[in-house]
Amino acid sequence: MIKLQSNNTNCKYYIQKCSVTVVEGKDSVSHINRIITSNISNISDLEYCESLICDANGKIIDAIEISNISEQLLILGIPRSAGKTRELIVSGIHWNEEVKIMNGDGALSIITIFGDNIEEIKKILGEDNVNQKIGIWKEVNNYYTLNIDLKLDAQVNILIQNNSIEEFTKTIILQGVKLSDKDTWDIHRIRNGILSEQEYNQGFLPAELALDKIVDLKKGCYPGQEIHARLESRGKVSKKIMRYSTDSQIDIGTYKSDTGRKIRITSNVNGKGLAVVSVKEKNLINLDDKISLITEEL
Amino acid sequence: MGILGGGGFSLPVITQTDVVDVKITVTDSALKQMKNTIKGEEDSHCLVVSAQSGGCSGYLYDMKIMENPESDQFQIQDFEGVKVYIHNNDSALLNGIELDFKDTLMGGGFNITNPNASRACGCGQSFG
Repeated sequence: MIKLQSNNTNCKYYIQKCSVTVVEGKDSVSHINRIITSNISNISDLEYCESLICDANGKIIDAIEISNISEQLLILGIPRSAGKTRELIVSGIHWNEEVKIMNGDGALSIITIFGDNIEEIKKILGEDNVNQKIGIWKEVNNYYTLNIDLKLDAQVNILIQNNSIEEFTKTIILQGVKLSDKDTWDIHRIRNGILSEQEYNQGFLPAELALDKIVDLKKGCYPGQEIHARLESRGKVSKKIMRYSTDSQIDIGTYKSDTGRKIRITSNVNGKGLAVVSVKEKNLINLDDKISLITEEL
Repeated sequence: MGILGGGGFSLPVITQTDVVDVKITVTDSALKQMKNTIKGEEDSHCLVVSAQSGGCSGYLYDMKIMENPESDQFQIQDFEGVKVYIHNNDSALLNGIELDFKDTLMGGGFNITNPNASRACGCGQSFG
């Protein structure tokens, strides 16, 4: 149970929208491993990892988070991609494999608590209820916690059954944790380089979104692998995602810089956001409608 | 007990529902090769052609000579005594395929032409 300790916190919570798929059976790891970009063949109990599902042209269909919990694989993905992802997972089960796919939408959710530092979140959830180790779930009564590795801030994800959300949020609200609005959540994720549906659903290649670290070219074939391998060997990625800031008003959409190259603004909150730009662009980008962006690597 | 099961908590299972009547063709060279491979065991053994997720294009072909599976989920076609089994789950992906055999040193072996595939990998093992 969470102990009531203090209500002096800047931490906020946000309930993430994601599709939930649960895969079980002795062949579930090898089955899923054939579809995704990373290698989960040695995933251990309670381990969490990020991965991608791509089409044959190498473009991202879904960005997924896979966790091995009690011999079941929990797959969290983008809600809009859930249909395609599940179709791929279900239709590709070899007749001789033992794999069961279940739909967890509406049954399980992820609540994210984020703040300046992990100690503050630990105070809220209880020192022993959050793993110090990054990327390993910790079972706590009727939910699980996961310490997420961020560049600047701290974040703990809570995996919880939907029928327990109300009780859980009541408890953390009593500790001073406030519900985050979408803008505050977006500011947090832009600052920490967390991509969202807005980035993933644009048909980009993993390298264009700086996601090379979750693409394993040595694991063997998966949909899109040929394209990813060719890009890697030839080093010809033409655009990449950058964090930007601007003093001007700018909306999500496609723009042209004064060099004539396309700039795709994917996220924006109060002049800060994420954009996919040509690798040839310098850090100061002038758009043809007099807007200037200062960009930096994620 | 994990959060994903037990304690009266169960999730709806998603199953493959698209099952069609399978009709495949086999070229003379493929049939000759199948007969050679299975010779003397035609009654007890069969060729199972199946698909699974993976490969560069989305799905991978799999072909195995094995003892006749006991499952009633297979559709069976007989080619001059050689039985080809295709599982119901693969029926939509494999309906209409042509099995061929190329007797060449480079790129030889069984080859599948699939009218359902909008693309195929250069090696011929993957389709999508």
